[in-house]
Amino acid sequence: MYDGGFAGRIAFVNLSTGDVRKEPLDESAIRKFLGGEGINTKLAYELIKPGIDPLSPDNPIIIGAGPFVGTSVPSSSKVLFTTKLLTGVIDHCVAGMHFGSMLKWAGYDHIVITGKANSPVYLRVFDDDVEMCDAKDLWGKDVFETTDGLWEKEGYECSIYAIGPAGERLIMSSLGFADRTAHAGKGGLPAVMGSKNLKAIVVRGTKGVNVSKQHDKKAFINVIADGLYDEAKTHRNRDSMLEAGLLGFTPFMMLNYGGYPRHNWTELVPGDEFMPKFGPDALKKAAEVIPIASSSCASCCNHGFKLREGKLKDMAHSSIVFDLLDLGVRFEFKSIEESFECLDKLNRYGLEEQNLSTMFDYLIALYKQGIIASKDIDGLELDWNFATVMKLIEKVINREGVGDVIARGWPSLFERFGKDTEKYAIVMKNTSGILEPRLGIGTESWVYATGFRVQDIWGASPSLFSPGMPQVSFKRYWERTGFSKEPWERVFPEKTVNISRLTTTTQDWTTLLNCLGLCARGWQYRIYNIHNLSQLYTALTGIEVTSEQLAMAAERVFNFNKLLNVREGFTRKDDTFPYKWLNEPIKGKDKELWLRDYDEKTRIDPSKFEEMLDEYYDERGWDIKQGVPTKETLQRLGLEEYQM
Amino acid sequence: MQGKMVTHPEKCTGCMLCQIWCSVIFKGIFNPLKSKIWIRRPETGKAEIKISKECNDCGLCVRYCPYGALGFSIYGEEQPQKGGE
Repeated sequence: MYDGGFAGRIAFVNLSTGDVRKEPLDESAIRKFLGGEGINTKLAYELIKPGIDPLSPDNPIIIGAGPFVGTSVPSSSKVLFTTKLLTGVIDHCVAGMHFGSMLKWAGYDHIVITGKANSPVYLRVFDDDVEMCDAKDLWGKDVFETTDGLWEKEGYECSIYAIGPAGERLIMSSLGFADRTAHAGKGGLPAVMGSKNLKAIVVRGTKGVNVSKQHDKKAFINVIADGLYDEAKTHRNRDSMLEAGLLGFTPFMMLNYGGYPRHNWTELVPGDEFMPKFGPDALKKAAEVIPIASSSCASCCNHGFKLREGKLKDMAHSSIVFDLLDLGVRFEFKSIEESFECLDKLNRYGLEEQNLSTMFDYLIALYKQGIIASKDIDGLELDWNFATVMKLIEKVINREGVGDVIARGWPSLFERFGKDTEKYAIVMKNTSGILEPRLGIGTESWVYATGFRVQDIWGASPSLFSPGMPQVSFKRYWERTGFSKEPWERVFPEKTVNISRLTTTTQDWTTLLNCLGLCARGWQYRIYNIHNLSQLYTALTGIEVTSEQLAMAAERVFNFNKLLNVREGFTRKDDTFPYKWLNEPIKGKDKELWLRDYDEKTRIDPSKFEEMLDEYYDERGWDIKQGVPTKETLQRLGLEEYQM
Repeated sequence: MQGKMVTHPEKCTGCMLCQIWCSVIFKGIFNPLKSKIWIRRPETGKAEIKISKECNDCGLCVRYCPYGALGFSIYGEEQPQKGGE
């Protein structure tokens, strides 16, 4: 019997009737699916009706925080929101800050929200009291006004996840924020909340989380104290990250690898051109940067900003510092102040930058190439500049003309401007790409094609910031995770790396972190492996688990998640790369770069891509023709009862 | 002699680790409300840190603060007023 780590309860809230039901968390489910993402996936499998309209009242929002959340395990703050998103996939949106910890301290591992309230409400979870509260006065307010208003009303000890007008207006590219800072919801979680008339969720907990009494509590404390903490603080990029978040060191990586894409992913801007305007020095010159940590985070990448001059004095706080560079370079902004102004607007509306900017980029390219004319886009004249972007944002948030087409998402754009225009779009499973694989392919690119979790892209990928790392670095990564080396011969042929086969491991690793509630940023998870995680799990929860069982459970949950999406109709046909990546080069400073395999020599054209996909399915034990788990694999993982 | 505890609120990022550690060691539960430290860290700036009279200066929170917001006094450093909850 577990007696620590887990709060031991799930609350089911029906917004249509106001009913709240609490049930104990089933130990057999924990033993099979670990917690967090695993239990969320199981609940999603049971509660999401196949083919459900994401905006239907019956589409549940399943919130879950794993057993480590709310404890002193470093970087254990992650909470997952699982639902059928507007992109059509069932995905887990992951947030940090204090929401997950508060949920656990209030005595819940999971909350399941279904139904639709008659009028705008927010959900208040204060220990045993779970109730719907009137939010009419908050409806229409931006994310930060909403959060501040609720803090004033409910007390500053609460943690709040809130949506802005974008969610209320059911816009696909919407984003919500936990405690004004940590973002979650790519793919349209806020729109699902908006469809339920749910403006925010406020949580406060005073109960705490126990350590199992079955083991000496020192066993738990010793594992952490014994080096984990010190190691968490020693990453070489920690100082630059505290100063400027992801912007602190990613531009340097890009500088080494050829630049940043612009003009709808057709050319690379060299680092020496964009760094002075949008790099960390420009950021620090423009604003006072205030680090903000999620609970138990020892190297935070969240920041608030106070701008030194310009129109905007105090920008809304958010962790997406990287978006400042993305906006500035992609749309040729004049200065980082313009990026700040634009990002502030997006944050306040609760709009999601990365998907939206890829859509804007695509539209501007179509216009500049004469494929669409001004009359097709409400008489607008588009160009890569600040004025165009700000105008398009207003049109999207007001769902006006072409803005409404964008608000509905990628399929709506292709319907309006022609199926042929799909080849100008960097989109997979109705979600835009973020990183450019023609600079160098890595596991982060391959998860675009094969995965469902957007978070994986920024998540546990060893090659994320350093394409072109030698084989030995990947071997070190693998050894650090502690996973079995059985696949090594296939994953590391000769001196190169088989990226598609390697991706299976990085995906399982991210799944494991999500099940436990740990951060998937590389500088955080590098202190963990399946051995110390199994020790921590056992000592904290009282459930004995071995390293091998932990690894197997991660693979099980990943496959279960795949099954969920297979049930929604996703098969091999959906595992693709955009046309541009496979068929066109990107213009670099001195040469054109085609998509290449890890050996830097073999071009990945459409047929090579299919070959790599075969290898990925083979490594997973999936049916190669369909791209779905085979009967044998499901049996091996103990998932036979969920077979389609 | 390690001296008395001092706080550097400008360095606090609001990670709550000091509180979580204090509560689990002395009360056997991860719960910031049961710790001997009270912190309010507004997203916009400097934290308020209060240390309870019951604090025994064990130094655990100093050991586990990753940001250097807690420390022990050396000669000339101002000490915090104890007396929070």
